[in-house]
Amino acid sequence: MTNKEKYEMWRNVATSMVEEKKIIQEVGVERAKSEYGIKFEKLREPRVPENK
Amino acid sequence: MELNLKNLESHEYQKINDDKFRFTNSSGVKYEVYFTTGEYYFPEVYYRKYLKTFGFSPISSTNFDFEIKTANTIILILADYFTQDDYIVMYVCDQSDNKQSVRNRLFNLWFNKYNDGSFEKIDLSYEQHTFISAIIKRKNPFYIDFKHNFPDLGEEYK
Repeated sequence: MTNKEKYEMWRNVATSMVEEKKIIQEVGVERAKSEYGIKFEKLREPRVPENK
Repeated sequence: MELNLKNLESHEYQKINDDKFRFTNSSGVKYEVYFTTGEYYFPEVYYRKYLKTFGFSPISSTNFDFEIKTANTIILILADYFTQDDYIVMYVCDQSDNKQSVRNRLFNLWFNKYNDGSFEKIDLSYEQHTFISAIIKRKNPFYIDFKHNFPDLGEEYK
């Protein structure tokens, strides 16, 4: 792949990610999942931060 | 991310429904933090299952208040995520209010502040309007192959 092709490939990725972000912000995570099929990663429980 | 994360003042955050974290900052603004799968953006790479996207946004206000504890909380969530596997995390700067270049500069500051050199952030911008970045550990087994996917940043494209 040429440099230009790589640059354009990432442009497409960025555009898609912006769209995805817009959807999540507009409808929230639950509707983004159920109505738009966006796949969210399963998260683990928060770790308790270390304190002094 | 490693480094300077001990004794970091942060907000308590909760996991909601397995797929997002939520916290409230000192001004009462609620934030949600999430990760989505990134494999569909690069369906042909063998490490696609390790590609993730990262996002966060306030859900109770349109006013952004990046107090230091908010930033610390987001960084702690992200840092913890990286400890779980050989993830490569991508993100784009929110464009909805046209402040994406401000966000881009802010996230660069955060990265430079918290990174101890064990992570690399690769940035691309398009017409100073769209900013996309990827964060990867230098010791990630996919580091070389992933970087190979990026254009040589010495060249410019308009």
